[in-house]
Amino acid sequence: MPAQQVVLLIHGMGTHAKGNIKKEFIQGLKDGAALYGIDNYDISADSKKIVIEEFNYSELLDEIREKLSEASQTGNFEQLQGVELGGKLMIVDKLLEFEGNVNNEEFVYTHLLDVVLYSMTHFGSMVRVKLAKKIEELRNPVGDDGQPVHVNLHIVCHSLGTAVVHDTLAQLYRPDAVFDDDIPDLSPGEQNIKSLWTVSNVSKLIQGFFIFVHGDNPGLDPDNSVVVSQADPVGCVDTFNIVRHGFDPFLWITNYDRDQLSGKSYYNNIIHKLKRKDANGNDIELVDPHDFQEYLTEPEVARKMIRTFDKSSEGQSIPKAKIAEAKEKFSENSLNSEHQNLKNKFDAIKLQNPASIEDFVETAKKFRKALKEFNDVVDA
Amino acid sequence: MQNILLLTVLSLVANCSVIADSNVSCSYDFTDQTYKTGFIDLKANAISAGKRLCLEKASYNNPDIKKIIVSEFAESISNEMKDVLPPSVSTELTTFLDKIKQSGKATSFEAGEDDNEDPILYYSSHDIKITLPANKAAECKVINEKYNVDKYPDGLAECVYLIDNLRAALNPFTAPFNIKISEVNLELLKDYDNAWDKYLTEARSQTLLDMVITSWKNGDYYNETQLKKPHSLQYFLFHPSVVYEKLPDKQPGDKNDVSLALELVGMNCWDCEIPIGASVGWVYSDRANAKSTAGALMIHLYNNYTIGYSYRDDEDGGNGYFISVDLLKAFYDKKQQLSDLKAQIKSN
Repeated sequence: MPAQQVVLLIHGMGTHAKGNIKKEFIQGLKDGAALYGIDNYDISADSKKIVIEEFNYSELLDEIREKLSEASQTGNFEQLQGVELGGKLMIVDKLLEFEGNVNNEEFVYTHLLDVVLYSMTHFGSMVRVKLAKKIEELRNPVGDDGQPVHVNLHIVCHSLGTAVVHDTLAQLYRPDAVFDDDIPDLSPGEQNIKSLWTVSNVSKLIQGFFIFVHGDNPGLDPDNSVVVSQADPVGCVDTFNIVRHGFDPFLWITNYDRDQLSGKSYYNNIIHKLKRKDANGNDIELVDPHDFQEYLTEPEVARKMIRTFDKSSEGQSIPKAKIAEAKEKFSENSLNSEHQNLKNKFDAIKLQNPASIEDFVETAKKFRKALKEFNDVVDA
Repeated sequence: MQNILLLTVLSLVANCSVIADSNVSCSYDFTDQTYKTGFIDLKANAISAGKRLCLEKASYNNPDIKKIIVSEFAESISNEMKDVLPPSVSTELTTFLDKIKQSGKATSFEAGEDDNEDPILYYSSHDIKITLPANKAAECKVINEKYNVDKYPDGLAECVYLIDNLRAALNPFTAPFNIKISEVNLELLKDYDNAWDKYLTEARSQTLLDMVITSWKNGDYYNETQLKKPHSLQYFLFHPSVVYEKLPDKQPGDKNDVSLALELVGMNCWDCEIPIGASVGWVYSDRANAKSTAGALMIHLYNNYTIGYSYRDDEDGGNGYFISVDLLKAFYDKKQQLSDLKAQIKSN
């Protein structure tokens, strides 16, 4: 019997309810398998003997957002009603107004605040400790009968999650690790992650924000850290896969593309109109090249993921020769003719050298506006 | 012989070891399905060597000791491996075992595939591997028919099946060692996790600006290549709070009032034996007969309570003291509404 495959999923920025990323993972691979003529493929079916886990840091950041919001709204500041304090206190007004809003649904507060909380405050360290604990819980289980189970731990991460994973592994795996001190650590090349899948890898972008507050450390730089598939010096990942989309704007600013000993860089630029559900559970259609589920549907990605995680004969049975046909099917109903219009629009808002966080925020807002305009044109 | 002597001496030296003294077992039978294999003798060898690696205290902190044990194991399985692999890969096998000896790593043997999707058995990285491509299927079948008769229900390719049996047979060598490391690491990580949970519930409340400044000031601490517990010190910048200020020399109506305290800069040790901090800043209030702005010095206690002194350049006794709302509540009936409290205090 093959080693048990355990897949740990880590979501991207924004609020993610528990279980959501697992649903997207299962559906993405189901849609990908269908392109090969395999209907109703379910990677979570018992017969596959795959354990799918998730690490949800959204709840941790939500807790901090809630504290910020509560402190500003109910920190007894209502006692100042009717008190004239003068124009010099504008900064306090603005601060309270901003923090009072951190729990609302706007993109800036749900998505970009996550980036700030993770990369520019010490709560990033908290997230990393909790992820490291989750990884250690999954790595070397002993069964109820007291006997070891051979586990292959794989990590699939998306967007901000790629930075969370990179930074955690860069601090957990230490070349000078010893196991008789009070520092939790592992030795690269010895207790490795079997495969790492970074979907829309923004670890370098987030590293920029981190350096701005904390200073530089080459050991934490994605281009230099132990988080790589490499033999000399040995990295902490056996196989490192990079998955990116040509129209994903988060990859325009900086792109991770480090050489790997084992693993592949997957690239696609096909855009579809996606059927999703909004926050209220209503059906919507949208264009989103950053969408995690859509990323997994791409035929080469889906096939390789299924081969890696599903050791049954079904999982191993999709021949390479079928990839071209599956890609043809994937290209159907793509927004081909609108590609160029969309590309032109996005080219106009591409940010080559962000000078500040404000630049980044403005670009993200323009991108969302461009996507919405594009959707309106397509719907017309 | 030299190796044995070296091992003995270094073992005696490394007799104080948290990890080696932990209660986690080094003895397993490896009866789980993921360790099922037809290579029985190889597995027995790996189990025996694995127990020794796990029990050897020095193998956790001394890379040289670990390398000796790994090297001896690789040497011990050399002949058996020749029997259970296609003869056509014997040169590759020699390279594989030599690289394992040189690596000094105590890692797992894994079944995988290379970038061409050929089955591989690898160790530590894809640089140390044996590849069994499809053209070796017939050779793999012969070996499987001799040793690995009990095939999976799934009917995998012959060389994939052979490699998986090798993985299951060899992995007991490092599994107990790695399980022990996992257990000790997990205890440390729980301790770190608890420290952060304690920070979330107990530390002094901060604004987003405070959080960023705290991270900046503690940048060197959080910037290391290791996981971190929360730093003891918090910093504050333009931190607002509501206080109740008393100006003892003023008349009723101006004596007590709710005010805004703004900490220009401040610091707090949230997990000191007595959590304590200090800030400088201003207090602003709206009184008919006193200046609205006062300089302020503040002391923070137990992460929740603030007392301070306010100074006004005011001939009519504009200096006073103030306390935070939470501290005020501690002195009054907790059932009183804050608005009633404010009215009561202002009238005093």
